[in-house]
Order: sequence, then C-alpha cells, then structure tokens
Amino acid sequence: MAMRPSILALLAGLLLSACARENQEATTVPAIAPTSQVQAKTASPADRKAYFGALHVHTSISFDAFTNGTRTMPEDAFRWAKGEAIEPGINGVKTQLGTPYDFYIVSEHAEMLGSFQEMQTAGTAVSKLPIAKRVLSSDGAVAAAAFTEILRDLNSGTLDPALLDPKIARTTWRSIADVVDKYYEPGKFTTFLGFEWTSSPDNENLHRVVVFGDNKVLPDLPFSTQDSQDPAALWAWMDAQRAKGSVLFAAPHNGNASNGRMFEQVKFDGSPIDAEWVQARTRNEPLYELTQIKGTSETFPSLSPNDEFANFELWDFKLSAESQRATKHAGSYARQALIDGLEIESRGLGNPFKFGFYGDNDTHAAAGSNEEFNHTGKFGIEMVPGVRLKGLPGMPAGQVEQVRKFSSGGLAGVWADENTRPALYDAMLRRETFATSGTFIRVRMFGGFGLTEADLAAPDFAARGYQRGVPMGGDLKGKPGTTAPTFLIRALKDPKSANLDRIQVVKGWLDAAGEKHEKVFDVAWAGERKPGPDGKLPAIGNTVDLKTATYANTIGAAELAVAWTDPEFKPGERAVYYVRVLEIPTPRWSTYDAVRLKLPLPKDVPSTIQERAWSSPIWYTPS
Amino acid sequence: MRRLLAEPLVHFLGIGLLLFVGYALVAPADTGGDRIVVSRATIADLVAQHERAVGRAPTADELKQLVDTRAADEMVYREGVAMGLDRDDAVIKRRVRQKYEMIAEEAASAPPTNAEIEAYFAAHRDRFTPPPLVSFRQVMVPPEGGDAAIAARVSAMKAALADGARPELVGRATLLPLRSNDMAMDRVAAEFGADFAGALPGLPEDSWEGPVPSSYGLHLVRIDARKAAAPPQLAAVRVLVQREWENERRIRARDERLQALRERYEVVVEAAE
Repeated sequence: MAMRPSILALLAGLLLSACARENQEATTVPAIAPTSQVQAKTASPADRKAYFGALHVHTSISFDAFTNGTRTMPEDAFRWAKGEAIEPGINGVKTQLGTPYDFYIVSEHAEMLGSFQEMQTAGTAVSKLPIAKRVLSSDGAVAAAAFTEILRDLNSGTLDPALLDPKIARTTWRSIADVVDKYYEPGKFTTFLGFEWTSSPDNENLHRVVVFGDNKVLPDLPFSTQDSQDPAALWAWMDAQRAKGSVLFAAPHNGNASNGRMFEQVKFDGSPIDAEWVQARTRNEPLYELTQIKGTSETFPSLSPNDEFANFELWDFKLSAESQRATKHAGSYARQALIDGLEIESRGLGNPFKFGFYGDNDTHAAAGSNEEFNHTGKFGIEMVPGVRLKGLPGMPAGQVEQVRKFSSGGLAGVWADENTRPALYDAMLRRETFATSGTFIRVRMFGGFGLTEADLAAPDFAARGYQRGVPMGGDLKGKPGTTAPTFLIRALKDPKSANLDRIQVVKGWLDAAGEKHEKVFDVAWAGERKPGPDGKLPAIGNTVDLKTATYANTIGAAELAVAWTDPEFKPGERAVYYVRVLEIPTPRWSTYDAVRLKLPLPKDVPSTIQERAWSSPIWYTPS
Repeated sequence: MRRLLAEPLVHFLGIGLLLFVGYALVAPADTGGDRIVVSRATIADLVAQHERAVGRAPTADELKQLVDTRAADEMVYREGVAMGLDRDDAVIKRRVRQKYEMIAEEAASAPPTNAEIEAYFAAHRDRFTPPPLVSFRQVMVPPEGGDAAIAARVSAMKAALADGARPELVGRATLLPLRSNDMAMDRVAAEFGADFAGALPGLPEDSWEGPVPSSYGLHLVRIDARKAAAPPQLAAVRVLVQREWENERRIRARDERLQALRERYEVVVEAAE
C-alpha cells in the first residue's frame, strides 16, 4: 500500500528528529538566580550597557502559529530565551539558543486570541467549527491551507464571528500576563507583555506590536483589527489606555509587505494628514521594527540605487500566504520615510516618521531564530530543515519560496541603565536602541558640535558624548553659526560571530529647494583598503567555504571606531543620520541547512550574507 | 546506523498504538446499540453555536434541522466506526492524541505541597544558587606588530600599571567597559566572550595579569573582588522553585503517560522483506 504524503511527512519528521537528537550536545539547564541578585543600576549614562532581546514573539496561542504546527506556550518562550532547549513544533525537533537573551516578550495576535488553542478542548463551540478539523490536521499541508484561508478572511474582514469569542480572548490575555510576570527577574531577565494589532487591508501590512512597559494597569482586552483597521484608531485607543494608567507604545513592522502604505502621507481614509495625526503617531510610535523574519525594510535597491548594500534579506511580497508580489516600494521602507519626515516637518506639520530602530524576530514558534547557524524558521513546521528549503508535500510552490526567503530573525539592542522593565522601556522611549540582523553586534553613537578625534580616543568617550552631544535617537539643534556636527561611533563584533567589515553613515537631507537626498558614507573599515575613483570602498573579501558552510575571521576587525564630521553639511538644511555596521560575509541559514542535508544550494536566495547593525538616527534641525 | 533507523520506526508504531488506546479511553460510553440520545446540553450547544453564527436564536424548524443533523452525524459515525473507517485515518488519530494529552495535562494541575517544594529545592539547589560575582578592570593591548613587539608592549604596560599608571591611559580605547563591578559570570561571557570569562577564575586578585585572550584581542586584567555565591534560602526563592516545579510537571505529564503506555504495550517491528 502506498503511503500517503501526510504519513511520509510524519515519518520524515520523526527520522529527522531522531537524527537531530543524536547530533545534539548535552543540553545545559541554565541556573536560576534569585531576584535579589540584581546588577546594580549604573551611576551615569556612560555606564549604560547594551541589552539584547526581542519585542515580537508569538506562541501557539496565535492563530497562525497554531495552524502552522506550533505547540509551544508562553512559558516555553521565556524558558527558551533564557537558554533552555524547547520543542516548538509537533515534529519533535528541539532548539536551544547559542547566546541567551536579556529580555523577551510574548505578543500574540489580538485577533482570535486563544480560539485555536480552544479547538483542542472537546465540547467547546470552536472545536466544532468545520475549520477546526482542518486546523488540527496532522497533515501539515492541510493545516497550512486552512491558515491561508483564515489569513485571507482576516485581511478582508470576513472572519467567522465564532472565532472571535471575547470570553476566550479575555481568559487567554490574563493567563499570558500571569506568565509574563512569573518570568520577570529584575536585573537578570526582563519580560514584557504585548500584543499584535494585525491590520492588513487588501493584504497590505500595517501591523503594529503594542508593548506594555509594566503590567500594573492592563486593558481588559487588546485592541484588534475587528475594532478597527485604521492605525489612528489604535493610537486613540492607546491614548485612552494611557489615561487610565497603562504604560504602552506601538511599533510598526514589515513596511516591505505594506505595498506602499506603511509610510504613506495620507490618513487611512485617503484624506490629507494634519498636525494632530502626526502628533498621535509620534506620541504612540517611538520605534520601528527594521528587520525580522519576513525581511528587512531599511531600503530597497530601486529606492537607493547608489547603496550597494541595499539588497539585503528583502522579502518582496504582500502579506498573504498566496505569494503576491509587492507592486509598490515607495512608502514601504524606513530610510525614505525618515527623509519624507524632514519634508513634512518643513511644512510645519511636525515629523510623523521620527522613529528609532530595533531588530526583531516575529517567531511564531516561541523560539526566535536570530542565529543563521541555528535557524529554526518562523513556524513550528519549519523546525524540520527540509521543510524550510523545500516545503511540505502539497504546499504551493509560491508559499515554499516565501518560506525560503524568510530571513533568520534580527535582534533588538537597547542601551539601558539596568536590565529592568522601567530602564529598558525608558531607553526605548528615548530611542537609544539599535537593530541587528541577528548577531550581537554592539554599536554606540554620539553626535555633537565640537566633538573631536581626541574625544573618541578618550577612555571616557561615552561620558563626553553625553555631556557635549546626544546619543542615538537624539536631536541636534542648529544655532546661528553652526558648524558641521561630528559623530563619535564605536562598533564591537559579536564575540561568537564574524569580524566587522566597515562602519557607514547613512545621511538623508532636505536641500534649500525642498529636494530630498540620501547618501551612504564609508567612514571606518578593516584592513588597508582605499576607496576607488567612484568613492566606493572595495569589498572586504569572502572566506566562506560553501561546501562546508564555514567562514574564517582572517579578514575584518573585532572593533571599529571613528570620529566623523559631515563634509557636506549645510547649516540651513534639515538632516537625519544613522549608522550601519557590516560584518564580513558569512553563510546564510539556507546554506547551513543545504550543507547539513546534502542538498544543492537554493538558487533564489544568496548563499552568503553580511550581517549588520543599524543605529537609531540622530536628527539635525536648523535654527 | 541500524539503531538510528530503527528508533523512529519504533516511535512511530508506538504512537499509533497509543492512539487506538487513547481513542478507546475518551470515546463516549453511550455510543453502542441503536439508541441515540441528543441531550439537553447538546441542544443548548447547538443553539449557542447558531446564535453566534447567525446573531439570533434558531427558530423551531431550524432547531429541529440542527438536531436531526446531529443525530444523523452520530448514526453515520457509529456505522463508520463499526466498519473500521477510523482505523487508518491520521487526522482522527492526531485529534484523539491531542484530546488525550490535554486530559493528561489537566489531571496534573494541583499546586505543589510544602513537602514537594522542599524536596524539589533540595534536589535542585544548584539551580537556585546565584552565579558568583566578580569585580574587575581590563585594558586592551594594541595589536600592531609581531609577537615580539606585542610581548614587549605587554611587559611595558604591566610595568606602568604596577607603577600606578591610570589604567584608562594605558592601552587602546574600546567600547568594552574598563571597569565592571559585581558582574555575574554569565554576564561576563555575554559581554567579553566565553574564553575571557573562562580565564577569570584562574587569575589572582589585586594585580594586573595577562595577557588574557578574547575574540576582541589581548587584555590585561586586574581582579578587584570576588563574591562567592551565598547558599540559597528557600524562603527567598520559593516563588521560583514553585514555577520550576510546575513547569517540570507540565512537561513531564505527557512524557510519563506515554512512557507508561510504552511499558504496557509490546511493540513488534517487522523486518523488511
């Protein structure tokens, strides 16, 4: 008798899981220090440390995680972030972080909160819905098809109301909050509660993650796209919660999947934006999630034709499981938005796009996946490496391509006084944050007038930066007679990852005629390279051996630093500056997987990538 | 290799057997015979579902239709089971397994007793012991030149530091902190790398030592103080102990149930022809 694909898939999963276990080193269980063992709060901002973590994490409570083979709960998420091995999917494969995180969140989709979990309980109303049988199917392709349908209904506002039971959502919301509090160990490991508002009209992604700074006053229920698909309605709801005592901000993500809508310069209904709308946005959205599994939305090659590194981990689709290509890029990417913001501000409306950066995950399996060598995909089903590269039997080819083009996730870096909710939250509000594409690169930047090379070399460089300038996320105000600002920049490699290639400064500005410009400056680099006649620095080289998926730190530098003064500064022009730090090339996750499985390297994704970090911007405003 | 191949097959067949048993356990008791009872609770459920989907209670005709459908479902279901149609259906088996595991997990939800907390704490005391803390300073050795030049530089830097030179003026500038106070050892590893953290316990206190290598280069290090971990007191960590105890039970409940079944069943794996 011929085996059906579902049984083959199950067998393959079990085989692989046995192999994975066989190869796994003994699992270590990290120690749990009592909460009294806290790191003392730093005496001065100069002693702030870079803490790493994630603000965008789903477990099986989210509908799309559940339908895609995830079975983990919020407990598992926090245990994984602290360094324990967990089993995210139904396929028996375990995953464990190489470098544990300092902070972590659980931020489920507000829509259908808990309903899919409830399908497992016999006798409940949702367990009897026709979709429940398909959602619970052991055939991953059947469950994935159910997911495709639900996502379509969600995005078009035609969900079965039976999936939206507020009683289930309320109980689920409280139980998540309890787990979040149970795992908070101030000074050692910080947990946040959040949710995702999942608005994507016409499959154009406007999603926001809402982060709570503490759990003292929480809304009865999160705000969902059933309440409204309009971001301004979300901000109004957030303002109302704040008035009741909640501490919260929102961060949008995946402008790349918004088809031009994330940073559009009109309101949701198409009417012109005004100062009130701008203030509501900036009051509620201090940060933007720049990179995650569904791609990086810093910029796009057609928007930044002179940026040779713009083509990085792009995911050029709309938000649908049916592989619809994005047709518009303007309005989708953060760099252009930063520059558009200068222009909008010059019209007296304020700057709606004044955000800092962080990187994140968007895992739907509780376990994030920032490490290329340790990539475990977005959903539970992708815990099996063959599924990441080739999909499940019966999965449409376009959907498989979307999975192959998933990036391994990024990381949020935060310069904070200590590892506690208030300290991390304050740092996020002042935008003293940076994004990485997944490795633990530390980057620090100060901008100021009159900062010098000597300040960079001084042992108290950070103290000088705070005294005579502003850190990343800050504002420089011009005065009559202002000379060009100098930026003190230092970048340290991840001690477990690759060396650094270069530091770049990305500048955007508005000229006297109101024209918008951008330019990427190479400002510090490893080795004896000289920029060519075109001003471009030659490539660092590539040590990756594609047969073994290995690289060598024989090129690049462990640390780079520079005091850079803008050579093209004009005191009358609004400008925005941020730093981009590149690592030397290393294997992409798909290369690690293909080598392990002895499969050919996939042709539609790069074999090697240059991991990177992006600082939050510093803005210059003329007097 | 043979073991590797054999193990998942055993695993697979074991799960299959479990599903049959699991099904027998959770199947309603009144499914036999030729009598079908549509209970008041079932009817209330049908009404509630209808209300949710349509926004109002069903009419009498609609309700009759719902009840008839439910009864027909049950009749066809019984006949299907009698014909063995459930036996080779992976969807049904998976669903039954999920229900079975839910029951197993729910059965284990009582809070731990004092004795259980104390026993767990005693058995896992190490996990509740805070990491040792270290206070230290470090400066980085400029990397230029060959081995001899670096060795000479290290000697000169150490001599200067021994003479009381301010450490922030010796060595090259770096984003790594010069001074770290009361830092947990896992935090040292996160910031300086595992090699560096591993070298610290071997260094004497109150003198500039090294060079200590890390992935950033060479460091001279002075240990200013060490604080050993104080033995944990249950009262101070009780909440954590209970959290860990409950999590372990949550994970273990399923595994134990499966293990018990494995012990009851004899699994025969036929060799390939």
